Amino acid sequence: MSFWAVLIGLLVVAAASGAPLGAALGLTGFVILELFAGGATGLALDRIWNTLTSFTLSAIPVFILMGEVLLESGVSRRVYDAMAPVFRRLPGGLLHTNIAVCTVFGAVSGSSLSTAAAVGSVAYPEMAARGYDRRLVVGSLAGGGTLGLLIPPSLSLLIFGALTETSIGQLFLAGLVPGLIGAVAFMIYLWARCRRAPHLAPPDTRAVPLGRILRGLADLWPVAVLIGAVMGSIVAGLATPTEAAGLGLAASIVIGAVVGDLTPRRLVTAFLRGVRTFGAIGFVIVGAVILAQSVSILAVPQDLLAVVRDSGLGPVAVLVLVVVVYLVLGLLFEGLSLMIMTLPIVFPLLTGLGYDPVWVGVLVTIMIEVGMITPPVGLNLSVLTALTEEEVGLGEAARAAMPYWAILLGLVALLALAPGLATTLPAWALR
Amino acid sequence: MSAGTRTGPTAVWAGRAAGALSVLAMAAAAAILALIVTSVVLRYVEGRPLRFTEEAAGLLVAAMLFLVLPRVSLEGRHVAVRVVVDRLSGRPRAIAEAVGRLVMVVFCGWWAVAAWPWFVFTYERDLKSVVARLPLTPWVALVPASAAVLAAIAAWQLLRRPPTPPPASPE
Repeated sequence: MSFWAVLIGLLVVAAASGAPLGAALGLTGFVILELFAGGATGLALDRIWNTLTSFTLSAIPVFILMGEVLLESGVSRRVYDAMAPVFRRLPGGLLHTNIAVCTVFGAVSGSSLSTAAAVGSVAYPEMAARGYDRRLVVGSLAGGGTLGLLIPPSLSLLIFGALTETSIGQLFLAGLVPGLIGAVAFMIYLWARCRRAPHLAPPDTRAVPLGRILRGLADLWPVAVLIGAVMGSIVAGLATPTEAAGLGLAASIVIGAVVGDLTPRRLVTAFLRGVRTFGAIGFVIVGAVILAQSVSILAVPQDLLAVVRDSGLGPVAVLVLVVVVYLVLGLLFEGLSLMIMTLPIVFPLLTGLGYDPVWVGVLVTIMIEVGMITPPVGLNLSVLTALTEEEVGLGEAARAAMPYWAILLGLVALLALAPGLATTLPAWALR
Repeated sequence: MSAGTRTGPTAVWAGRAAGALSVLAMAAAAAILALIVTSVVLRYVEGRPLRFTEEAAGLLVAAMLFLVLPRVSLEGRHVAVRVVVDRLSGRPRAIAEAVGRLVMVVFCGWWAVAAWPWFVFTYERDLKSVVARLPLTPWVALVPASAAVLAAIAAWQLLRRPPTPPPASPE
């Protein structure tokens, strides 16, 4: 039986059966090691242990906990209330607030799902009551939520860095400009759409004094402190990403308790949800590490690279191929899992063709964001559909998210044409 | 992710045990936080960070994962591709779900068996961590133990009868 038949056949059958993805990946890896690498499962066990006990990986659960603490402490409501008056005069009104709040909350939560859920739970009821088009609201939240994965600190970039040994500080900086471009592009789309069809977003005619808007924005200081503490300490070289995550978590507990609604009971809930989420992600990492070990022992990425080189396909054609593969897999796999399982092949393939590792990290993250709003698995869509209590169905949410899907693909094209958008800032910081 | 179904005394007992383990996982998370903050503070205030922070945090993360996995499994919170299974019904669905659980049993069983000699090796040589000289045996023991528990949970989910609906209450 050929290696590829085992890899693809077993993986497809195991994953399609609804088995935990980590088990599907890990079993495939074990079988490959048994059949093609002389039963070298011990190497995979060593690799799992080394990956799980690496200090860089420690940042992942700590960032997850930080997001959960912020979610429990009601910081998203505070940010929303402060930013709501800022965009009210623009065509689209509170829809822009959704994007802006997702951008800010993404900068502290690190997770697309947490961002969509946190902002959505605050924004949807209020906007639905004000007569906004519900599908457009859900679309803006689904699209805006994806920014949580790109705007640093990002869980996706963190896992990418931990698994590929790429500088996490540089990855975080690299995600900033594309993330902001994405946010601005989303807002431009909403502005244009609501300008043409004003009934989608009823204008807010109430007068709000500038002083009140500024006072509201000043209320955002805890969030600014948090972003500064996390990002500033990494970029300034004062702390490693894990230390920054630890300080960020400590700061979010203090801020949540002092200015938010965080109680000891809520803190325990946040910790329980955080460790459980890490358990779900960690199991996928275990499976992916076993599979990665099996394909790397057999030098599969190198063979694949040689095939691609011999085929005469240029780096751009391979990049397009990779994007198409992510689009297809995004139909079936949850974002972070998709990244974890594809990295063992995609990362060496693209970097072997000369692409910058940091740039690849941003590209893969954007493709994962696309997956987060691609049905039927797109988790942002599922969460928001549940938040609306099925007032907006999954199909409607998917259609509403299509423009954001297209914008994110446009962002990939833009990054391919101008890689400096991602690589300049980290290069500048290194100087 | 899908929510699992828990009924009967075995399920209650298993749920309590998994709950206790997840409390230990939360304690590990709190310890990681305390360790990192203490280390950073000591580095900038005292000028001497804890030498073993990285090592201990890594071990605690691994422990946290292996301790919480039984609860994740029991509650059916694993990341899984449900696109195909959710579109099936009746017998085909039952067969697909059984295959899924079998995959989990085989993988975790294999993992537990493969990790056992690795644990024995650590125990017999009383291996210690490089910097802090922490005994590795308890940490490494979590790997085969957790994998075996996960295999047992999946086997139980595979073999148990589907929950029967409660009898209608007499009016």
